[in-house]
Amino acid sequence: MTTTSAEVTLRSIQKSFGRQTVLNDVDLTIRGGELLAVLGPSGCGKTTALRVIAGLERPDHGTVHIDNDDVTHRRIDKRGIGIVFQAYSLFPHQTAAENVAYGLRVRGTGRSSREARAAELLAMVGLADHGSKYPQQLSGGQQQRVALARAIAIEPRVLLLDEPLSALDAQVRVQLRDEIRRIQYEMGTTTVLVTHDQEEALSMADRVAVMRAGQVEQVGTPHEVYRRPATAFVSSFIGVVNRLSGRVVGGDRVLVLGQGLTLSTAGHSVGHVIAVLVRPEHLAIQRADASAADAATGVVTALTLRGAISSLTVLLPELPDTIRVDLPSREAQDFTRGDRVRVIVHAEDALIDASAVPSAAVRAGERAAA
Amino acid sequence: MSGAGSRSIVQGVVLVVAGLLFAVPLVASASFGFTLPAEGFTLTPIADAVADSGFGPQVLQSLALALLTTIASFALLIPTLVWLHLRARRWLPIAEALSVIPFVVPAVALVNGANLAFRLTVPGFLTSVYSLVPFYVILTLPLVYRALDTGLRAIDLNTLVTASASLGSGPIRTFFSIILPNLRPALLTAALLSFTMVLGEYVLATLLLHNTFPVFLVQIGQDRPRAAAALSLITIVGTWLMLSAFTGRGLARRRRGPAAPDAAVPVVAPILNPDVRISA
Repeated sequence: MTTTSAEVTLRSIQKSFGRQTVLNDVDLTIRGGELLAVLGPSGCGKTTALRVIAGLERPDHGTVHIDNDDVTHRRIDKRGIGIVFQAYSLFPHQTAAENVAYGLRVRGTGRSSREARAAELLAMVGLADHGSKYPQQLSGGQQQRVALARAIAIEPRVLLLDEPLSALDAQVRVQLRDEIRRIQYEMGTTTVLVTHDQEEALSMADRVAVMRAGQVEQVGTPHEVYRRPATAFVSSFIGVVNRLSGRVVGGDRVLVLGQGLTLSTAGHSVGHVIAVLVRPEHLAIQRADASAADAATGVVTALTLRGAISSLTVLLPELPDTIRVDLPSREAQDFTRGDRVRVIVHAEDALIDASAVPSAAVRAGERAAA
Repeated sequence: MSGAGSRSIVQGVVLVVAGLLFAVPLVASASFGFTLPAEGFTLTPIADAVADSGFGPQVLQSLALALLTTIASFALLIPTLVWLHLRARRWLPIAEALSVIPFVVPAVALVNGANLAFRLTVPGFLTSVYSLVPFYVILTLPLVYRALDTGLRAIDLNTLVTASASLGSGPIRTFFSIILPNLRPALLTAALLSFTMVLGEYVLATLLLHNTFPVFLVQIGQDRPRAAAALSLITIVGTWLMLSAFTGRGLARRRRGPAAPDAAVPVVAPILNPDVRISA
């Protein structure tokens, strides 16, 4: 099987629809052979970026290169790309095998060769016995597998996945994303996955590009964007984050929940109140005396078992809403609703958001969806 | 009596009345066309009609007109509608409104206008029987437009075209390999509508002095009314058979499951009207 690992480069891409700027000076490089997930809330420009790479939208400014080949003004059928769409896109009048072989037929591949290749690819996606079925006789997950086989049959230079799992139910989605990852790894095809599902992006991608308002906020490995988010938006969009109030007390020292932490204060003056973002797993708790009455001491209002970890919801006196603390379930079982606890912040994992108003735990995905 | 019982009685009465309204003219037509007072059942009237020197040429003429009208309608409407659906969806409501204009322009007005216009500009144009084709394209436009539009709405045209293009297929190949095969049920419906309307069109042909099958039916009806009744009945039965064959195909495809053919089937219903009107 041929391995194609072209590098895709977007340079200074701008795209507007009427007065609305959808892509604003986007620079992005997708390395040869990697799977890059473009992640962001609805309307952030991620699908438009994919359509620009595909040749379905022409940028107002900037260039698209596949390796050293400038394809900015090249038609979609001349770019050597494969696409799997969000909507079911199999040709209804063709069987699964005919669908897979279509691109090869266009390229003039002989009948026996393309039939053999279609059979091989259908076997690869686990549908060896479904070649003679029509799309209407296949489930949604099976249709998307055939669409994937069809897209890779032509050995594209770049594979574009436009939210291919979003129409599927949760169980099939999880199963199929593992399969897509396996096949992409085996093929080594440079792949761009557009998704609004952070779990999908983090679990499938070699690197993740987080977009907001037509711009790329951060590109990094899933580990990097989760553990070292470059901006407050990234930290709040990916995973769950608690927004705590902090006061700059000098240099890089910030007082958070009555605890002095060493944080980069990004030029804030002494006395400024800033928002400090901390993930639930970067907080710890210990049992407090009934008489303790400081900013870090509060009451457990709920405890949720999530398997290996449990989430405790804690109400602190100086915050308007509750915060979330994640603990190994074995430790969490020592606590119960109504317990007085003291919250401890790990400074090394905190991030400052100067623009944000302190509030309670925010699940970024939920906020974006709203 | 319960509500459900009353409803079923009303439904039964409506069904019987509708059946009688539909069947009585056909039975009367069959009785009149295939019997003679002294002989009972006979094929003599229809044999006389078929033996008439005008029958063969005028039937062939009408079939050729129907074929040319269908081809011209498809050549005009399929690329236009595909383009509208892919590139200019906001113009679709306007196109749809324009497509029904032939319904509100009486055939007589169309003929008078055409007569005046062509006598002044291209006097020889209307002498050919095939000059009827553009007028028939206009007459069939509302029905053919709807059949094709329904077919296009039933498929995810944009996604299919994009998928085809991403696999390296150019626009022309995509049109013939992907769009047309998925429009097949709509094309069949549209062709059937076009054929039956043209085979039954009398007003334009007679006013422009052309001899087509419906004109032949009227002419023969003046001398041999039984032959006209028998031929009309056979025309209706032929249309029915075509319709049944098509509907059977549609149902067979539906059992396989495609979304596209389903929506196109109901459009066939108006097809009966032109023939019934002409043969009455």
